[in-house]
Formats: sequence, C-alpha cells, structure tokens
Amino acid sequence: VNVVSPDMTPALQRTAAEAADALISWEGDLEALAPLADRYVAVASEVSAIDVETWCKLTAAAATTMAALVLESIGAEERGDEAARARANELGQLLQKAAVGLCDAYPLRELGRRSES
Amino acid sequence: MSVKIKQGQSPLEQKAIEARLDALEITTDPSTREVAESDAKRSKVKGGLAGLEKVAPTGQLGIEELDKVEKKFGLGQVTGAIASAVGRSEADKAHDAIKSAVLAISGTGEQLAAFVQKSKYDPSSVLSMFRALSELPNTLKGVTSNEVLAHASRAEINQLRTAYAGFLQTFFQHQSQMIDTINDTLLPWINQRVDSYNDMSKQVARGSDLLTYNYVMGDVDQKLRPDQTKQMVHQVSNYGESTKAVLAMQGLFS
Repeated sequence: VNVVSPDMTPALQRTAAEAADALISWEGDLEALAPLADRYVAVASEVSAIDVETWCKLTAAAATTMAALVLESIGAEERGDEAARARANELGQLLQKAAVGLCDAYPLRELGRRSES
Repeated sequence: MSVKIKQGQSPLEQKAIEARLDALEITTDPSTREVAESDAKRSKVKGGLAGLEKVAPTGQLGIEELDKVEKKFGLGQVTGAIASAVGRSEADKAHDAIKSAVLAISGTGEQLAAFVQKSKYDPSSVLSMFRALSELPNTLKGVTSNEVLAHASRAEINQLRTAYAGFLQTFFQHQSQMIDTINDTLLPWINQRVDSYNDMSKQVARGSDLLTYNYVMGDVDQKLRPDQTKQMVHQVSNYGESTKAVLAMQGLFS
C-alpha cells in the first residue's frame, strides 16, 4: 500500500484509531453515541492526508455506525418515537459529513497516473 | 395523440431502451421522442398506440428481447426501470425505480462479497465489479431525487434505507481488502499491460518483422486488450469517487 501522510503523526494516528475503535464499540444508546461522534468528527477534521490502514478504520467505523443509525431511525419511526428518530438522523448526518470529508484524504489518488502519462 | 418514450438515465440504459424499441419496430420522432399513432400501428405491438399504452404498464413489452439486451450489457437490475420507459405514470415509475434500486443495491453488495472471495482476478470480473460500483452512485442519486421521493411511500423509503444500510456495512467491511487488491494486484496488472502495449507499439514503430507484429498484435487482441485496460484504469480510478458517493447518499438520514 502506497501513501503515508507526512502530517499523520504517531499521536494523531493513535487518536484516530482510538476514535474509530470507540465508535465501533458503541452499543446502541443514542446519548452515549453523541460524545463518541463528536470525538470522531474532531479527529476526522484534523486529517488532511492519511495512511491506508487508518483511513479504512475510520471510514468503516463511520459506515458501520451510520448503518446502525439508519436501522435505529426506522425502528424509532415504527415505535412512534419521534425524538429518537430525529436524534438518530442528527447523529447519522454528523458522521456522514465527517466520513465524506475524509474521502478528500482518500489514499488512492495516485491511481492511474502511470498509464495516463 | 402520441406516447413519449423516456430517455435512458445512463448510456447503458439508453442502449437497452433503443434495443427494445428496435426489436418492436417502434419508430420515434427523434426531436420529441414521441411515438405517433401511425408509427405504433406499423410496429409489432398489437392495437397501435392504445395497445402500446395498455401493455406498457405491465412491463411485458418485448420482454424477451429485453432479457437478451440485459444479459449482453449485464443490466439485470434495470428491468424495472426499462419496463417503466414507455407510457407509465410518474408514480408507477417512482415505485419501479425504488424496487430496481433496492435490487441493484443488494445485488452489488452480493457481487462485492463474492468478488473479494476470489483468489485470482480476470479482466471481465474486475470490470464488472468496478462498473457495478461506479454505477451505484447514479442509481442512488436517481432514486433519491425529489421526483421519485415525492411518490414514494414511507415503507418504500425504509426498504431503500435498509438495503442501503446493508450495503454500507458490506462495502466498508471489504474496503481494506479492495484497496489492497487495487494496490497489490490490479495496479501491477494494469501497469504491466500498459508497459507491454507501449513496448509493442515501439517495436511496430521501429518496423519489426511483420510476422512478429502479427503474432504480438494477436496477443494484444486475446490477452492484453488495450481498450479493456483503459476501461479498467478508468473504473478503478473512480473507485474513490464511488466511495464518497456511497457515503453521501442524499436523504439517508431524514
């Protein structure tokens, strides 16, 4: 694998991995998720380029949690719990925005360069 | 009186629609894409324009020909979208589009899960996988447009969200493996072919022996296929954009 960021310090790499682990370990309580999501967003916003392993870990953590939040939102709607539905959607949007932002640091941007030259 | 034929949402879908119209010998006005009564009568559809309107909503129009086209272009998931191409209401089109998108999302997830199990990659399976991934953002964009969502029931939207949530998990579960596959297997594979092709072009430019040239070019046709390599570079290059689009599905949290 090819790109390792010069600004991805070991400390930031560790913090990012911890934020991803914390998100992955979330067990379904929406209010418990809020600080984890905030921490994730803060880490994601600091990363302008990234190594492949951390990128995969961060995006997978967001995507897995987003998928759980979609299902939580649908479940809350079926229960008629409007507050839980709105909260799940709000947290989902927060993570979605951070994860989409991470794609600007996508570690495959050198791809195809050689064949185009 | 006339019936308007929908423009395909992608070049492949457009090809499928045109192939279906050709098979049924239906002629359209190129500027308006409308079928006039006289054209409908000359076509293979029984009952002229009325017949066309009657059978179109059932999706039975020339379905045999459609199957062939779908097989040829790998378009198994767009049956619903094509069936809605002729004379259906906006609401019916929206329901079909959602049904098709749910199938496309689930199908792409299954295709991805099967793809990463492979130990060797052949060009057609790689192209097929990456094409499916690169088409998914368009499917998602189309199905989350206001035109479709305006006609969708909450249950339909939730079906779509559930399928999408499943895909999201599958996609990112295999993301690391896909990146390793691209970097460690596909890039060397692509670059080797580009180098070989460039070497052959140089040999040809130097005026190498004609027999050697034929032999080498035969190999290009059979194994190296520069057009296929080019397509693969394009599809793989767009992988990052697909990832972004998959994450950014509009209306997922609403």
